[in-house]
Amino acid sequence: MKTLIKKDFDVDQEVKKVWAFLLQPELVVDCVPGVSIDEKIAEGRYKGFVGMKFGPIQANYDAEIIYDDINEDNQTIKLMGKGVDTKGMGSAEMQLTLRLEPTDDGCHVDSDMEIIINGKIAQFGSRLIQNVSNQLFEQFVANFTKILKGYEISEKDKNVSAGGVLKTVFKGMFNNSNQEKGKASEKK
Amino acid sequence: MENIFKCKTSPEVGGMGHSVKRKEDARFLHGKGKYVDDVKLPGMLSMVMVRSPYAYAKIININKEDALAIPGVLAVITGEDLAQYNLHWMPTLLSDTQMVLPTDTVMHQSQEVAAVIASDRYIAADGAAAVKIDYEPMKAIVDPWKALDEDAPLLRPDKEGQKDNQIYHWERGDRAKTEEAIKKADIVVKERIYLPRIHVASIETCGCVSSYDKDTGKLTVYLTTQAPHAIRTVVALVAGHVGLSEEKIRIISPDIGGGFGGKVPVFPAYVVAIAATFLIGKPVKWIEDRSENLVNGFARDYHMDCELAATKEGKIQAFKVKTLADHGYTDASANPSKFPTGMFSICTGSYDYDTAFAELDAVYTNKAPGGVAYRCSFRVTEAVHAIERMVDKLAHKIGKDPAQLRMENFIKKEQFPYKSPLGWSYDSGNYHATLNKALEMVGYDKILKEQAEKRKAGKLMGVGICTFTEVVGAGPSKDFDILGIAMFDSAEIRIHPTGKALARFGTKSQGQGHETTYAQILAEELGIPYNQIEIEEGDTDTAPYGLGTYASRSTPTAGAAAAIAARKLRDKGKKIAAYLLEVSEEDLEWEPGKYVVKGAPEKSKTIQEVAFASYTNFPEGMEPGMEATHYYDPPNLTFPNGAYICVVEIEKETGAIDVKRFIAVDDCGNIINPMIVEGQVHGGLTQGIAPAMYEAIQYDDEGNVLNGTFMDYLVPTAVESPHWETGHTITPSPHHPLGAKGVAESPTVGAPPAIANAIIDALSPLGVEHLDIPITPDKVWEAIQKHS
Repeated sequence: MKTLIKKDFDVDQEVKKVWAFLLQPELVVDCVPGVSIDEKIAEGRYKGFVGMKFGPIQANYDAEIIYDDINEDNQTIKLMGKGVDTKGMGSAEMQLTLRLEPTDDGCHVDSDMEIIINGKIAQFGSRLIQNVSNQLFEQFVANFTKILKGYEISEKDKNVSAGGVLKTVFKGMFNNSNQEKGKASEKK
Repeated sequence: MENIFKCKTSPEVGGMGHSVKRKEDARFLHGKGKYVDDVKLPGMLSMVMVRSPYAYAKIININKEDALAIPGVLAVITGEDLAQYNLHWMPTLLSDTQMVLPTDTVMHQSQEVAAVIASDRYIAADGAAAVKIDYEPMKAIVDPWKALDEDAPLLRPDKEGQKDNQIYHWERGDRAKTEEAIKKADIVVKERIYLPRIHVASIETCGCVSSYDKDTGKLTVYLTTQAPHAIRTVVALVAGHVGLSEEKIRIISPDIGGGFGGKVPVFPAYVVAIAATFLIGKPVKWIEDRSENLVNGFARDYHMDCELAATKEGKIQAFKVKTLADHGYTDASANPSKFPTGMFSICTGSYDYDTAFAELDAVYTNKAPGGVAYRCSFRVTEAVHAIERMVDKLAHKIGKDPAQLRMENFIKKEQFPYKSPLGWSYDSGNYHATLNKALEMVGYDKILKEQAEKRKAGKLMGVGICTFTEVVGAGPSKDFDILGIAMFDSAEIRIHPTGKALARFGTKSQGQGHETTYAQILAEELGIPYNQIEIEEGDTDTAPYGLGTYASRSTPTAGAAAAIAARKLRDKGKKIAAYLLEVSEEDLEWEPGKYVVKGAPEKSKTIQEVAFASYTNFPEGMEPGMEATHYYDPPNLTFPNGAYICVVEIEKETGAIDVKRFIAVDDCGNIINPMIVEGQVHGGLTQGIAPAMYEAIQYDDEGNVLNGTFMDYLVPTAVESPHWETGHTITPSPHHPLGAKGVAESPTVGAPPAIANAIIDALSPLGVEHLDIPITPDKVWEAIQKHS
């Protein structure tokens, strides 16, 4: 099942600082709830783990994270993640593209995320995938902004927020255009 | 429901036409039904299947180690293991081949890849999660329209001579004549109609307990099957080479919690469970979970391009339909051998015209196999939907009332037996009377007036009609077989010395109420009270051979067998009665329950007295006892019909559909138990609104099933069901011994087009001409937006 999420948001930090941050996978991964890096296998390639809950089921992916394309001229960075569930429930692929642009008071981030989920998660959780992904992405943005501002992120921030997921799921049930609204509110 | 059938027996005897309470219900209502999962044998092990997360992938490696390391896990069985015994492939009912377990490639999501056997189900499930399988996913063919593209990968290279993904091409009728008629016609209406994949969603999932006794050499399999004898023969044929012989195989089909066609096929896990009990020497239980049940097997999935030609007055002249059938990765359709498309050629409907052509291309895709006859009498649902939508479309096109158009085109009652343009011989019917009754029940003129007023007020109200002809009771041995076995069915009756009886059948009830209806048939024929007759089915060691229960065939075949076997006993009884009364046989007359001397009504012998005498005091030279068997080979199929009318209102703002009225008038010939028929009709109608408004198995581009739970796969409940208004006309089948025709599937066949026609009629003022089912509120809302 393919899910596309587009989001853009502003960070009140210099583009340079944000760019430098993005080049450090350990720090970036720390912002994504449920994801950890275990080892570096080669330049730009890392082995890690992704744990996620989609409604009734938990998926645990042994994942490979790849810095696919780093284009400093365009200030664009492409991250790929690929994983197979440790209990044979299927696989997931993620491609995240981030583009940075300087603004008067910091940096504007344009992002595209494409997620392909196969197997039992797609079967059980197709209605939840979009919402869960949205929620994770929102948490990512929040953590990302927090760290850049110099705050530490707590264990709680690193865990998938169950309440938040439920909220987005319910929002999704009653409002199909929640994605659009989320976008608008982040733009402010 | 009114009872318009004239009963010949007293309510105490409870023969045909009496709404006696179901004998089986006490145990069901008390929770005492015994299903496969209730079977617990000493030392029994549990099996869980490991299933593919991918729709199409190469298997690189299967690692059993971690699973086998779990305490309690006894075995992990893979395709390679089965290949050693040449058991990794099996034939399907339509002589295609299906993997039991794969050795190198998986062909659909959730296909069985390995089996884990453990001391209990929880450990088996942990074991299944610990089997490590490396796959190399490949691009799946999900869209059947792309299956025949030149660059489409060949899905079945294992099949010799298979050059593309076409399974077969089928056609019937006169193509040239039909195309000519369409070319010359005043009016031609066209539409592509899709009936999506749906699931039978029976309450009980599939399962088995397989037990091999080394000492006796006997294999006993408790199985959720609608056709125990056929399964026994299939097992003997498939596993004969490993030493399984048919007399050593016993299939027991205990209580079944709904079948609807989904329990006709042989599922791979059944075969693995049988192999496992052989290998391990202990009984092995496998019970499918709900999601496994929901993603495996399917019904429908026909894309039909229809053309209906008529004069400008609306006289139908010709019908043409070209179908693309998506069968998944193997053709495991549950159809008679000579009818790969089932009875689809009934698609010319209830109308009198002589020109038609139907063709069908079946293709392989990376989806689950199945093609079960989900309460549809072998593809009649698809056929009826096609013709009934097209007839409505024609009516709208020429501006004629759809009821009127149907009346003008109906086959007239004096035309029966009627030879249909695609070769069926309709046995009987009075279509005008059936529709008239439905029109009367709904108050058609008043409803149309109300509709006109509502439309004036800007409201969306629709009236939809479906006047279908069903074809059931497969079938005559000259045409009908499954894997070569003729589709007769059987009854065996034993009357005990005290006048009570035991009867056994080759069919198998899954909730239809056979224990009651068969007893009523025997009560009708023999005069023994229905509640003194025990009915047994489902055990191949005791029941006579039969092809089972599906496609509304039990009453047309086994019901007929019961009547004829009973008549054999009545003939024998007559000889005994004549002997006891010291008269000649010609002097005796049969009245329900007794033999009476003509002209001397005080001189008679009851069936009970005669039964006692058959064991104690019978004529010299006569074989003692009262036992008879009959294997009934039907001379023709039976053709029930019905007229259904649906009235809907649609909320413009939300697309919400409110089914205001639903009238179902069925003609299933003579009725055995009106209450049971009514129950069958209610259940069938609910299973009719299901595909019309709710159900469809959804796939994404990668071949993932997206609604694999009841959270997402919507099944209507009592809340969604409208109040069903039912009625009957009775046109007995001229060739069936009881004049009965069968009813179970009529409502499932007839309801969807009536609902679709009603919704489309409601939207027709906006210019909507067609919507495919399921017609959900969002589909309606979108149509309203598009046409506003």
